Amino acid sequence: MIYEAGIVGVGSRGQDIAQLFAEKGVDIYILDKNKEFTDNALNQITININNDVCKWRLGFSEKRAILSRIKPVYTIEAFKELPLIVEAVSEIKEIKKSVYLELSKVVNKEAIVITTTPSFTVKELSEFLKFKDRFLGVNFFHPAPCTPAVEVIKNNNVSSDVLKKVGVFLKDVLEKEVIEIEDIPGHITVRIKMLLINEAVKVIEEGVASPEVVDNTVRNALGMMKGPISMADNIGIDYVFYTLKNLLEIYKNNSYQPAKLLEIMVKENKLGRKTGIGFFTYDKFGNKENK
Amino acid sequence: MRILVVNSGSSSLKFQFFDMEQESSLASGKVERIGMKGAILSYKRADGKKIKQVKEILDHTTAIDVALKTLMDKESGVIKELSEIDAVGHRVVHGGEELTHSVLIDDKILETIKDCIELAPLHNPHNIKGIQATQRLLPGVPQIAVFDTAFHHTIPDYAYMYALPYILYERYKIRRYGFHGTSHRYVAYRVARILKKPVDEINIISIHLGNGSSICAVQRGKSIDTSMGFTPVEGLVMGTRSGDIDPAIVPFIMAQEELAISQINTLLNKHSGLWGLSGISSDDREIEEAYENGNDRARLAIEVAAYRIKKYIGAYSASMGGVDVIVFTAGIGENSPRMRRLALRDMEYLGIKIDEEKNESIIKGKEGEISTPYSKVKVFVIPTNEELVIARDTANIVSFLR
Repeated sequence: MIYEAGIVGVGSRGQDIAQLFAEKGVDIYILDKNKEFTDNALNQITININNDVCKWRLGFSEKRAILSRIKPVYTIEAFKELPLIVEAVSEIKEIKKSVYLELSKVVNKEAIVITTTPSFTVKELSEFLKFKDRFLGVNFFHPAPCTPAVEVIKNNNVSSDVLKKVGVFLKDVLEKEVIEIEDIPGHITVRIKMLLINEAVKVIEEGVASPEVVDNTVRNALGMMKGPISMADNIGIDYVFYTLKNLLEIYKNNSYQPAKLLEIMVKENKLGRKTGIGFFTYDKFGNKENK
Repeated sequence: MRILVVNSGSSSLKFQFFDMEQESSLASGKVERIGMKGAILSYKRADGKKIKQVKEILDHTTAIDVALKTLMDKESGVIKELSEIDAVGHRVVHGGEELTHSVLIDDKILETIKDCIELAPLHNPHNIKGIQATQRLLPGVPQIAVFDTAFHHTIPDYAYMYALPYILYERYKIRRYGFHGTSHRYVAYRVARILKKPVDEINIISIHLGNGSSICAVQRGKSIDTSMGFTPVEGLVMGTRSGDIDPAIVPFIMAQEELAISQINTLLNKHSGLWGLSGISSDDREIEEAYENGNDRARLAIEVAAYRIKKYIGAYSASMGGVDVIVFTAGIGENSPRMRRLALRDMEYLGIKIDEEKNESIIKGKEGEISTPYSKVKVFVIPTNEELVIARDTANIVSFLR
């Protein structure tokens, strides 16, 4: 059974996954591009957990236990002995490539590597790794600690042993329902979610409605827990923008053409909750200010 | 007869080894952090010899294996071979409506315990892991399950049913089950023995005040009502659980705070009770200390908790047509004279008179009476011993099999 893992790339998605692992009793080592980013990620995870305590989802003793299991590391060599590595770096192919080349040098012979990519295929990323039989994709939905399911994307070369090991880990340790899907870019959920967000942003861009009205309408009329605009702020505007761009390139479907507003926001560093401003503004604890 | 008692939790496993000729505990221990890095084994033999080790213990089977090897340890152990273990008694939290007595575990019983997972998702799965691990490592040794809910199977339907649509009872078996049954049973029978009265001739109110708390009306030896219900959240104010609240508060808070089911569950189970009220701690000792230093929220928390106990005493006296004995047990019940005093304050009308000196002196595992000789209702403090009850039930069933 796997009770230790590393995660490379701890932006908002990586933080979310690190928190899930730690909540389920897994010792998780977090690494980002430099010490400052890694330490900031740990701070942000602490804030996220505090928010979960304030919002009653976690108790105080749980908070202490969870935080004790999240450990920052500053070099990829720290992943040498770990049985599982999760890749959650930016959706930019060149960055992913360099991370996989590094991982190929470092990780041990048994280690399993998981990508959380929403927009590339597992097959194309596997080209950057030396070992393809221990590599597959898992899509953790946001917020990872709360959502009941994960999508698992097989790679044709992955060994049945590795697949079984990961399946047991996801089901028994992380307590997730496993949905196995084909290795297509955007899977099921990302394609649908990105279109929803993109269309919602276009509605705002056209001046049809404000972000609040869009979210409230979707929530109350379609019965969704969260509106698409809050969703975008939570997962990161840059993430939405790059994922849409990747999907557009792959599917040549104009519906994936990112709304102009998204591009502007990325340029202005209005990336959502993580930068304190996106479609909504957030205080230093990540709480929405203009609710 | 020598019996191993196992209490298996999510990441911990407690064990105790009994010699039933003397009903004495020969050794006890626990394994913590199962499946995590650096699991901890702590063990103590009756003569005080101790072991503490940090090692890799990946699952419950390994934990049981470590426990068994420790019991056989050359220097600190109490047995030479596994064959010296005559039977194993397991604590199982939920027996549902079907398992109303301690039983010998066979495949069919194990399936029934599995069926109860839905009713006790946080406990039964781990109890089952402990049973399966022991079955593997001690094949052929009789395994007995003792249920927390079993003692309450005598509660009549008018006391265990909630006035909800009946179909919910049919669909999901929503009803009062009660917990801490093994503890309530132990103290009720123990107090009857101290008073030299047959348990079926007296009415007892048993008050288990620990991390979780419940109160039980034991009429002539049988539980006829208890404060915990479908889940252990109902009833008394606990360390972090709310106990009784107006059920309509739940959807109200959910709407106001936009909470999901997991959040409201945590709110009721981990953010409420003494902790939620006081904002200081979930530990009664720390709250009492703050109370003494004049903290008003600490006072409020203690008084709410004590008043809730008092209300239940009144209710259960009415249910039983009178009460002869009140017993306090478990962490707070055994160690907090203040909580006992406040809960029994102004109850002379019912015939309860506390001897303040005795009340103050009976703490730290002492057993004894805290009421005055003139008190119509006798009040006792009795340290609970659930493991001994499990060992006794196990011994009884095994002797019957032989």
